[in-house]
Amino acid sequence: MKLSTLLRSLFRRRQAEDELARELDSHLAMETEANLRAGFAPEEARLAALRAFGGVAQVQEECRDAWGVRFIDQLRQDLTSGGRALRHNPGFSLVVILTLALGIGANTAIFSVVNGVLLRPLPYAAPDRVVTLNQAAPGAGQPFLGFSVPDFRDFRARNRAFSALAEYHSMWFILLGRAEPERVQTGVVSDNFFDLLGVKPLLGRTFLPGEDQPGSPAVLVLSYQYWQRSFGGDPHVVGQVFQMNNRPHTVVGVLPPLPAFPNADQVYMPASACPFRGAANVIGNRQGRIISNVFGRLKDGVAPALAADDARRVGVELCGEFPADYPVDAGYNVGLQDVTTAFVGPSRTPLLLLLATSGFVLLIACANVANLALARLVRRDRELAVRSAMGAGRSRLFRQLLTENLLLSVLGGLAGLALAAAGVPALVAYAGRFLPRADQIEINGPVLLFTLVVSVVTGLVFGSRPALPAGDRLTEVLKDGSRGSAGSGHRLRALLVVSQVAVSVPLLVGAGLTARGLYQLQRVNPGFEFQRVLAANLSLNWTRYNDTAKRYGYWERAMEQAAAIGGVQAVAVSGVEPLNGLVNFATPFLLEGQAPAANTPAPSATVLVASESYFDVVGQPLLRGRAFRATDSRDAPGVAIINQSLANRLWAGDDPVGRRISFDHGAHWTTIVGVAANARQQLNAAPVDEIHVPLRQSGGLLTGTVLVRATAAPAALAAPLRAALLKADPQQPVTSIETLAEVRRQALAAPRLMVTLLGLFAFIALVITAAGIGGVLAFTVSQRTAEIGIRMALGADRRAVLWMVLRQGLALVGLGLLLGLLAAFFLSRLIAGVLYDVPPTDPATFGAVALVLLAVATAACLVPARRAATINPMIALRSS
Amino acid sequence: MLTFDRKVTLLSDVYKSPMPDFKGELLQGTLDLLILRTLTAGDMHGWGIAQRIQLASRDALVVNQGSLYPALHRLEHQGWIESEWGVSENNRQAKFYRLTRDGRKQLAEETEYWNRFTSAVGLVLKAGGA
Repeated sequence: MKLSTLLRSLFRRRQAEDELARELDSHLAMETEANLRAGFAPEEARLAALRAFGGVAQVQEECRDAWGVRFIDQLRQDLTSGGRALRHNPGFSLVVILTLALGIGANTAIFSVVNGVLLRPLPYAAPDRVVTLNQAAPGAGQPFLGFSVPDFRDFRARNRAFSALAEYHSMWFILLGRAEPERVQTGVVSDNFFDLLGVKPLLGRTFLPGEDQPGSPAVLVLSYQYWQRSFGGDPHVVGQVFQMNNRPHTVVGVLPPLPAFPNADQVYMPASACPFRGAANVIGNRQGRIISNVFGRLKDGVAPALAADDARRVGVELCGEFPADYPVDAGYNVGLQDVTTAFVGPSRTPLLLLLATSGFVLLIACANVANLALARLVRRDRELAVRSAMGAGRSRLFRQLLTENLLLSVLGGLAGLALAAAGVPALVAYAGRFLPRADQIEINGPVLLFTLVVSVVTGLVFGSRPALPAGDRLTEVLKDGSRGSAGSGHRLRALLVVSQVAVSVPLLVGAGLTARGLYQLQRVNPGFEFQRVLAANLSLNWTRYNDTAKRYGYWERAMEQAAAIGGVQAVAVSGVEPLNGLVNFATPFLLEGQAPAANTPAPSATVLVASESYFDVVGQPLLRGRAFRATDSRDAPGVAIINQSLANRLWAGDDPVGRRISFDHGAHWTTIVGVAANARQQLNAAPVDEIHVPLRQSGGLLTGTVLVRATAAPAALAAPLRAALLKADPQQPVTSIETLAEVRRQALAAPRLMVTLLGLFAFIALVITAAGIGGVLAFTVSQRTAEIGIRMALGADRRAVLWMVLRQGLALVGLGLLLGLLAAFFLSRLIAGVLYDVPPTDPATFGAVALVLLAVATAACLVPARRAATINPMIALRSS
Repeated sequence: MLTFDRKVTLLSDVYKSPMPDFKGELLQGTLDLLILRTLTAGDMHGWGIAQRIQLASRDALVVNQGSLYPALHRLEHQGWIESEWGVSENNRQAKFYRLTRDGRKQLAEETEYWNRFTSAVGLVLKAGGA
């Protein structure tokens, strides 16, 4: 290929065209002259020359072909003419671009979430080789048991599949030495934790080998987020010393940004620095399962399944060797999960459901656009025929139409991108609280690529079929100028409508089912009267409140101050905030008069701390016995109030009041003095077995909640409550103040977002489908105007015409509805996991969807049907 | 009689596709060969080439004049011929084509191929007739 000709033809386009015209002109002139010399009449000589030459325009086209810039050139030409065609028909273009923008925008937004949360690899070295180990005791009702220090030591020593194991748990500590005491979430880890993950520090270093051994000086590594927020990214933070847990802690490094897994820890310390993890009774106690997560890195060449077998083997060995610590009936077992699944696994189903839904919406949009394009094409028959006569080949016409479609879909994609760019930040802000890795959600390279691919594929999908009417017909059209008959195009349009309806139905059913689930969840009575309760969460400064008496003192003062606020009806303190959704671990205990069975795990329940008026304040009724009293003090005999669920489990039919239980193998006994009604700590989970112990006998709470029952709207009391708590101790920060109604609302935030998005998608799908049905019928009516006119002239009344059109539309809708219901019946099982208290084949939902769809479709059909019925037969016949 | 009508150029699209149609290739190549051969006689404009082919074939070959130009442009694009504006014998502006060095090599190869091809076809035809 000669570059110069290519370049010349590209950049000196006009000159090349000019030269070509001159060259052909000169040829024709020579031929004419030759003909004149041969004796032709002047007129005849020119015509003969033209005849001998053939079509000038065609020859020019073929010459341009030879220049090798054909493609770019045609593209430019197609784009220009495409742009012109779209401008000529702004209504069509706008509808198509908007429809596609909705479809592509929804897909882009959801894909950016899927990409950030599920697809982006975690910032660890070879994250697919990192796993987390979990011990579970399903027989004792403990799906997440954790590991004790001896467990961890044994797993480290006995495994064959892991190149390293690291321990992790997380605690809140108070960090002193800055302007104000700060409460920091602290990851407590073994020395190899960051090496195992392959995380390199941004500043300084991570932990050195041996730094997690008892007696090592306490050191800290700061998380990137904490360093940025609290230290303003100060590079001199390394080497600074802070007081924590009555010891100096030296900052040795700063981490790069890491996912908040397992928790959003602000600082990390080695195991030896944690006062709980370092205590002798924890280090030597096989039941002191303080380590919440064990991380492992697989040895090279070891498959995850093999590693899981290996971990299980170690677990079985330990169960055999220490039967007292692993009662057989507890069903101890060790499980293994890759770290990505452990982190984002629970989000996978809802996110993929959303992605599939938005994909369906786009499909429906494509069908609509294809229909519009088909209808438009019929009206462009003449234009295409003229183009063909002017020398455009069939493939050339095809390419031109395709370019137009791609232009539309890319414009739709751009508009969709704008929609997504506007929607994603709002989505992230809302979903950030319950979606892992929400900070990773952004419209970036992969998302843009996705949008581009989706746009182009969309253009090809809706543009591929309606490209051209049969070639022979083109000349026919040109000759008689007749309107193309509907023919096979009509069948295709009908098929598109049927599939639109069929795809819309599962979307509507999915949205309906989740909405019903949310409705059920909202109707759940949590067992609290949450409407007028305000909660203040606090974590006491561990160093200042270093004994039980001081801690009681604080909670007493806090309750006194809070009770003095005007509009406060009652005040209580509890260990956890009701409805906060945190999982509380069960504590095993002994029943008096029952020897512990050798192989059976002891009964267990969640232990909650409550002050005297707790049940009054949160409105949890006492069914039997009495509430706690001020006399249930540290010196008095231990008492407890259990909930109905535990009472039924252990003393079904009997009165539990007066029975005694022990949390310390019989050294001290606690008498059950009351039974409370069941209440849910988690909105979407059935009430669990609970034991409440009085605040005064609890050993003092370090972290607790002050609960206030207001006489009126509780939110107004937030500021006075904060002031009252500061009066109780001016140096004690308050973590958060919120009404229980807000806590409940937050628990509903995730399902509500799901319902909102699915509902939005289903609504878009419904609107697009309705527009599609209406559009196709309207087109049919316009094609049949003459026929309808004849019918009317022959005596058909308007009602019959209306019904004829309506029936045609509803037949398609009915078929689609039937197929869609069938599809939904099978597809809805896939989302059973995200439904609360609704069967996936809920007949009411299916019925409602069918009704809504029929109603909307009928409305959409009525518009063209009425137009058909108002056709004036005289005008219709004359115009045809 | 061989005629180069519109069909030839339509098939040129096929010629460029990954799986060339043998018939198209032959016809296409034939016109190219005739142009290259004609230009060995000296620089010539398009009309002249058409006349020359017709004359040389003793009117047996009628070149559809229009189809000549795409072939010329294609040959120029491939670098086998080059062009220059000049003045014709009748004092008319015309574009003159000249064979390049590559063009001569191409012509030699094509002629060789053509001879082998025609003699092979001739052998087959003779054998079939016997």
